[in-house]
Parts: sequence; C-alpha cells; structure tokens
Amino acid sequence: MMTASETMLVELDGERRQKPPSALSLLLHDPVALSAALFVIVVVLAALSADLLVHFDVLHEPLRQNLLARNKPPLFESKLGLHLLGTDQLGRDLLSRLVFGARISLGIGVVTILVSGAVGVALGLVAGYRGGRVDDVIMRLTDIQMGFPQMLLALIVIYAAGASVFNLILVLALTRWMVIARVTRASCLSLRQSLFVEAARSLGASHLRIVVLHILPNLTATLMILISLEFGRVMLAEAGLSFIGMGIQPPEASWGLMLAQGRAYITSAWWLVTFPGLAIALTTLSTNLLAGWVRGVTDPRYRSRL
Amino acid sequence: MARYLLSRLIQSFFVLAGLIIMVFVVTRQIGDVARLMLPVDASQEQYLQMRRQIGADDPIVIQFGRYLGELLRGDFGVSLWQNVPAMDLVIGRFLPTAYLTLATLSFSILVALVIGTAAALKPGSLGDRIATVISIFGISVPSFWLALVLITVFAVGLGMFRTSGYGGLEYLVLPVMALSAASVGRFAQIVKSSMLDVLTSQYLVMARAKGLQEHVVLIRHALRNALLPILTIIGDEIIGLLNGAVAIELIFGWPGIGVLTLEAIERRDFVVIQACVLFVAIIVVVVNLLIDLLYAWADPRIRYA
Repeated sequence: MMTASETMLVELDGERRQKPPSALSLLLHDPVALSAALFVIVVVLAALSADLLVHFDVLHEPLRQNLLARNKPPLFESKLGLHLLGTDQLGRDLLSRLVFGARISLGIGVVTILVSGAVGVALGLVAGYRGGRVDDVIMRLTDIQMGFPQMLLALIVIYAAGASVFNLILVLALTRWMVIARVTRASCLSLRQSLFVEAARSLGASHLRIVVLHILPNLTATLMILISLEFGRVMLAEAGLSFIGMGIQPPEASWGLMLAQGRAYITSAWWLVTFPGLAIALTTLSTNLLAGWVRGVTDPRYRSRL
Repeated sequence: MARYLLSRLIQSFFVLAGLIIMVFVVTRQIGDVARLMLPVDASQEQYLQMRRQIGADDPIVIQFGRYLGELLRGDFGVSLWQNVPAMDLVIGRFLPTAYLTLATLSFSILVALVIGTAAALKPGSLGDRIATVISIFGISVPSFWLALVLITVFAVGLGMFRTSGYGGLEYLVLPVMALSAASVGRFAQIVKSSMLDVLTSQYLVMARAKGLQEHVVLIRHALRNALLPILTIIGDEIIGLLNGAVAIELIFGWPGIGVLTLEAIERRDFVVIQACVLFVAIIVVVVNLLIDLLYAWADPRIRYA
C-alpha cells in the first residue's frame, strides 16, 4: 500500500515524463511565428553577408550607377545583368540597395536596443530593488522623458549635433530606454517580495548577487517580449527620421531614406516605394509577431489557448 | 482630490523644467547657438558679433537665467527667416496639427471600440481574428509608407480625395487613415482586454439578472467601464500622433507644426525650431495633466488612493 503522498509523487513523476514541448517544436507547430522567424533570419543573413554576395556576383554593386537604366521595373535586364526588383533613380540595383539598407536599418536597431536595453534594465533593476528615494528619482526621470514628443526632441538634437549614425543611435536610445526601465522596475518590485529572493538573502547573498543571479534571470521572458516590440518601434523611428531627411544621409542606403527618395517617382516607378516600405513593414511585423509568440509560449494564461 | 491635484501639478512642473533644461543643454552645450543662428556662409566677424550679441561668452548660469526669463515672458524670439515673433508662427501652424491629431484620435477610438468589442464578445471568432490582424498590422506598418500607398490607390488610382492640401473632409480622410493605423491597433488591444475583464465581472451578471436588455448592459454598464483604460493611454497616443504627424504633414502638404519645424531646419531658423519644440512639449504636458485629472474624476479609486 502506498501512502497518499507517495501516490501523489508517483503521479507527479508520471506527469513529468511527458516532457513539455521544447521551444523549437512549439515554433515548428506555429506557421505564423515560423514564417516570421524565417523572414528575420533571411534578412539578417542577407545583411551580414552583403559584401560576400557582391563579391560572388550574386548582388550588384549597391552604389554602381547606370544612368542609361534609370527607374527600370522589376526583372529588367541591363548590360550589367538582371535587376530582380528593378533599378532606382540613378540606375542602381534596388535589391542590392535593399540588402545594404538592411545592414544599416537593422544595425542601428540592434545597437540602439543594446544601449537603451542596458540603460533601461540597469535603472529599472536599481529602482525596483532599492525602492525609496532612488526609485522616486528614476521614475520621475522616466516621466519627464515620456512626457514629450521624442520626434521633435530628436530633430533638435540632430540639428544641433549634426546627422550621423552615431548621433542617430544616441537620440533613438535616449528616447526609448524609459519603457524598458518601467517594465523592469515593475517586475523587479514583485520579484523582490518573492520567497526565493528572501531565501537567498537569508543565506547571506549580496545584493548584487541577488539582482544578477536571482531576479534578472526571471525577467528574461518579459524582456525578450519587450525588446522585440521595442526593436520594431526603433526601426520605425529610424525609418521616419531618415524619411524626413534627418537620419541616414545619401549615398548611404537605409530603408526610410530609400522610401523618401522614391517618393518623387511614386506615379511612374511604384517599385521604388513599394519594396523598401514592404521591407520595413515585414521586418517590424515579424518582430511583433515573434514578441506575441514568446508571450504565448512563456505565459501559461496565453499558452492554454494555443 | 486637492492633494492629488497638487502632486500632479508638481510633477508637471518637473517635467517642464527637465524639458527646458534639456533643450538648453542640447543647444548650448552640444551645439553652438551663435553658429546655429547664422547662415552657413557667415564670416568669422559676424560669428563673433553674434556671440557678443546673444551673450554666449557669459557664464553658463547667467545664460540659463536669461533664457529662462525670456521663456517666462513668453518671448520665444524673432524668426530669423521671416522676422516675425516665432510664437505667432508656431501658434498659427499648431492649429492644423491639432485639427489633424484630434480627428485621428476620435476616428481611431471609434474604430477601436467597434473591433475591440466585437473581438471581446466572441473570443476566437472570425471577428476576433480580424481584430488581431488589424491590430498587429496597424502597429507594424510605417504610417508614412501607408500614406504613400493610400495616395497611390485612392487619390491617383481611384481619383477620390485630394493628394495634398489643407481643408475639409476630402483633404482630411487620407492623412487621418494613414496616421490612425497604429493608434487603432493599440486602442483595439486595450479595448479588447478591458472588455474581456468587464464582461466577466459581477456587476454585469447583476445587470443581466435584474433583467436589463443586452444592449443596455453592453453600452451603459460594460462599455463605460471598459473606456477607462483608454483614457490612460490617450496621453501616450497623442505624443505618438504628434511624432508621426511630422512625416504625414510633409507628405500631404499639411501646413502643421511638423512641416514648420522641417522648414525651419531647412532655412536654419534656429529660433523657430526651438519655439516649435518647446511649444509642443508644453502642450503635451498640459494635455497629460488634463487627462490625468479627467481620469481621477472618472475613477474615484485614483483620487483616494
């Protein structure tokens, strides 16, 4: 005869044998999230290997002008070869410009998120863990920052300091750390009260150890969701700034800038506006979908609906 | 209520102070006002004279004091390009932006209420899926690209509405549609989740139990309470709309404050740039304050917390 608790243990054990599905298998069973992930991977790989692709003649030289073949439609064949997505107003290959534009658009997004994420998480952890006066000061700081239109602030900073990739990243990071700080603080506040933090503290763990080894790992899922959402927002902000001429400067290519340049030819060369726009929209859409998917997988309330 | 009002006023004061300091630091420390105020081809003598004239060699504290004094008197300087007070220019151009922003805000709340409620009433239904798709596309598509697509399809292709200009409905429809996509997406998500909460609440069971008709239950009891969370994000949405409006105004030739800022940048009219940024920021602070007070008035739990 087994005692009640033993039976429970055995049952628990039986349940445990049905291993929870791994993240990969969950991804494979969700066609929407899977295509979003594949799209992001393809764009990132293309951006990373852009120079190689040019070297092996898969892509055209992005800055090679061909004034005889200006504004040619997709699938146009010039003496330089096939232009899959057509050519732009200076006869440059659109696909190649898109790939090199991805490098700048994604690169700025990634660096910005790293900077604003590091600042936001650090300040959020300090505010949430320490509480009191420190918390007050940091939260008022986020209030101040969130209280005014970042676009105009970005305009005045870039106007005063000059348009460069460095300044662009600085401005975008400056205007986007607050959301991350707020969410980190809120989660940290509730984790600080939890039993395992109390246990760690009573075992004599230092504050730094508790924050880095006990609280931070529990924020992973929340931060992953937030960061993929924020990545989309940063990309849109960069595209917007470049579109109005205050971001990336020619002859460099970014998707927002390409849209701005194609705007003049909107009635005669639809591809100049369509493809860069699609690139921005699909990349943002993919990161937003992936954020939703991560939330679905990590949050049991959502998971039950899958 | 008085205590809440006081704490909110103090907070707004700090936001404004932080903002003014930030604009000061950015322009005086990162940039060089004398340079910014002169044309690119100004000579060295003109530059030095300008520095003397605006007192750029004075200690930073004195410069800040002077700057603050001018702001408090409502003196935003005289436009370098048009030689009229910058404030007059800014106010004249702010009205079209306010018009566009308010039209977009009301339109997106209306659409979000319909699709958010439809989604919440039958989770998992076709309506719910459509609402989800609209929300996620809305927040992913850049508004300025959507604007170009809308112009191509409706104005150029179908000959409906105007491609650019400022005026009544035929000018307003396309910019509002382009600008509202993201707001509709965010509002619809909020409406859906708050409706879901409200629909399972005890007081709705109560309202049904006392025999109220379903549409009365939905509109008078459910919707009114589900509207509250919308209020909390309206402030952020207005900021987002003002951000997005810069590119939209540019595309549609809408004579708003975003275009004014860009024009001022093009003409290197530093006084007007600064006036635009400060003016919009002050408006945003005031609007946020009003929304919070409205929220406290609508939800007693905030007032007495």
